[in-house]
Amino acid sequence: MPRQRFMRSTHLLLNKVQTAYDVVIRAIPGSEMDLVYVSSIVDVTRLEERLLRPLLERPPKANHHLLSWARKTIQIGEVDFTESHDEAVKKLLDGHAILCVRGGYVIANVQGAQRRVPEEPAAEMSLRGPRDGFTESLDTNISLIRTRLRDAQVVFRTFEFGTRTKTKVLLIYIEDLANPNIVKEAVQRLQAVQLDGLLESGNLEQWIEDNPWSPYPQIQSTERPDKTVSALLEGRLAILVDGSPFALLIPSVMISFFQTSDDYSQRWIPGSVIRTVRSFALVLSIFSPSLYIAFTMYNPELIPANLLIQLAATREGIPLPIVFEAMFMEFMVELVREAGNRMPQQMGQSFTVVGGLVLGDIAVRAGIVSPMMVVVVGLTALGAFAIPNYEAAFVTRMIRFPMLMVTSLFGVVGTLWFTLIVFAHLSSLKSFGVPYLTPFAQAAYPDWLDTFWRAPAQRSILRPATYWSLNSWARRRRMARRRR
Amino acid sequence: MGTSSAHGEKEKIKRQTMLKQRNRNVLAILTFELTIGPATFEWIPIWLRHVHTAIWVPILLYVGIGVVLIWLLTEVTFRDNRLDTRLLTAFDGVFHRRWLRWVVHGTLLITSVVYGSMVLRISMNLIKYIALPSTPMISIACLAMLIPVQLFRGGLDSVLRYEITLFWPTTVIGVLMLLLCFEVSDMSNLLPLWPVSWSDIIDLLPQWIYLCWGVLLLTMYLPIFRSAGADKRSVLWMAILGFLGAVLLQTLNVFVVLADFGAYEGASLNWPVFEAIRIQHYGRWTVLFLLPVLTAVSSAINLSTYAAYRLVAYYLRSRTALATIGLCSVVVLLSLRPPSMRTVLSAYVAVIDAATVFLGALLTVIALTMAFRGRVS
Repeated sequence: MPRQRFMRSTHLLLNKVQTAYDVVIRAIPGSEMDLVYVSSIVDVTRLEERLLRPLLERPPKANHHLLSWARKTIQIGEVDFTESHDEAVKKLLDGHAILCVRGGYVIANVQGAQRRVPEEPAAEMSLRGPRDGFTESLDTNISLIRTRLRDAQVVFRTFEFGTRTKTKVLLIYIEDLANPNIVKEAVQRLQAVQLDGLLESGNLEQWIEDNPWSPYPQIQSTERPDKTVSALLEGRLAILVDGSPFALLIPSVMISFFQTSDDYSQRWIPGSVIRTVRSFALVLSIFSPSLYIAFTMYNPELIPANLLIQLAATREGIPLPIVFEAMFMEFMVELVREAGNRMPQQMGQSFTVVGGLVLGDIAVRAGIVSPMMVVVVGLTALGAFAIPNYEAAFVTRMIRFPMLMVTSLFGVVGTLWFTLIVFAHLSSLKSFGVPYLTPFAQAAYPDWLDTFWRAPAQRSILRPATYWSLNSWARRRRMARRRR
Repeated sequence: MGTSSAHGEKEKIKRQTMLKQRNRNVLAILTFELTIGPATFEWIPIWLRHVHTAIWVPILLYVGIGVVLIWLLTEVTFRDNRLDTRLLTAFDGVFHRRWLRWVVHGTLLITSVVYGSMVLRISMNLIKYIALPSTPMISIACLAMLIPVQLFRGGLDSVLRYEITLFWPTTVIGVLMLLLCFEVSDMSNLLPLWPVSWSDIIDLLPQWIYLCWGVLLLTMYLPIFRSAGADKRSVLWMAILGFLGAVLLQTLNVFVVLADFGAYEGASLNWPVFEAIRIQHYGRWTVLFLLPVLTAVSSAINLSTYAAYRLVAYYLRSRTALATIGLCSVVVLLSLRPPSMRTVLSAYVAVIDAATVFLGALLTVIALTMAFRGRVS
């Protein structure tokens, strides 16, 4: 179609768009009007049925007011008018159809980029909870939240990041539950972000976290809408990024990384037992290689005599010092895990299992490591797998290496001092002003009912004060005291 | 005006919603930690040597002295109705002359540093005895001081968070391990309960003074809780609760030593509580008992060094990393300087005793003055 036949506004619009591969321009016969859209990100059926057909049947006449004509004719809810070329380009690239008219643009929302349907999150499986997870579509994610949270107090604040990607970001909270100071802090941090492109929520997380030098995650991410809604009900805030299936939950405290949706779907006894098992898994994962080294190198008297003799027998002929043996095995486990992650999903799992077994067996047969070390490292890996959050599990695995080194120098004392140093670090960490070790650090006993264990549902009806909610038990108690 | 009222509203919401770090429960735990000190219980043999099985009597007297000290401290801290957040110590509101404040601050600063050094040295000796006989002391000292270096950057709240988070797990483990010690105990070792000679009890007076320093360190911390909005009544009761909890644990330790060894054997041991743990289960648990003890040691070092740090930061007008590193270096040097534990226990304890007597006397005089003026409620 020759260009000179289009409207001047169309030319101005097209001059701003560099690529025209999927940009469709169509002149509307019988009117001074062109329709422009990007075919790859619009819902073509909707465009044809609701926009193009009415346009062809009832084109505007000279005496028509454009916006009111468009709102009457176009069978689409979101219709607007702008004179700004930049605004029109922005909307065009956002999946809107642009009607180029004399003196401006009529914009109709016909967004419809290809998106996958909600599936069960791969990293956060649930035995009894809901099976749907967030997708890359912001609209789908909002609908997943909306269908669970029919509260008029829910606030969705929109931000746009990336000078080039123009990624939409939503800050979600419940007005009468979320702490206004935390909301203000979150808004300030989001406004301070300066990015060329934002493709993933993980990238945003690094911009807004409190302490970028800490290995510990200070913002929780989740793929589960039910978990997100549960967090909103606790007075927390959620951030959704267009194109990312992960919601960011703020503020986050250490214990929140070790809780799952399943804990709440089950009755309180199994829920508490599972949490206790998870806590043991955490301890096992962090301490087992260090304590094994400490006990065998420095304090063999702590091991029963029979077991000690067995251990000595299995270590016979091993050329490496026990510290290097542990380091070597831990490194191998990390290597196998990383390789498994990078391989196609079908192969990855079998590779991890087979690789681990074969390598462990060969290392023992070759006399590089002792069988007991394989058991210890296996337990460590299992413990790390039981931690529900990936970032928390990763830190747990990484913290073992410096702990191994300190233990090799100072024995059990080294392990203990290193643990205390880690606690000192955690004590100084905060997430959006909320201390990381809340509620333990404030001895806020009512909130302990939902930490390493779970109280019966009837006992935990109080909204936690951990996240400084406006409706927490702490505030209600203070206000009641004041009234008295 | 509008902006300031909006700001005031936000502050009000913040105060109402946030979990206060400086609350009553925290004060109780803090008092417990200050009273229990390093939890190495090196004083038990000396007490046993003086009063044998009648150790309950000085413990009861010590409880009385401790409660009175806490009561006096609370009275002095809450002396004025005006809330002055700049108060550094409980005495600051009383002394209007600057030089008097300097004397108190100087005493507290020196004694806190000396106390921190003594605790560090005692813990190093204990670690060398229990676990690492040939490790250089300086490496243990440097490892230990990494904790306050990290914590002081975050201010008092970080220190409190550290103390409070570790309190329950370590206390529960410690108490359970102590209870296990009764497996091989002989309860007849506890008799006779009544003292043979009361003069022995009086001879023990200097040892009580040594234990009272922990309580007197509240001088530095009570004004902080006052400025955080705590009321006098709850401060008094929670501090007493924490103190009594600590005394209960101290009594449990004495009980274990007496029941396991008796007064004479207990008095001849350097670390009787550890020896009591060692004789159970073929000596396996001694190293594990280091967990609660090292936590208590690190708490005692943190709290005493932080008291000194607050004073230094006040005069330097800023919380500098330099002040933290300087103070920690002084603590390490003072802990390594004495050639033996005997020197530590004679020289450093003398400084602590002198400071305790001075501040205790000052407190009593102030309280009496206030009572005469009718200001004690």
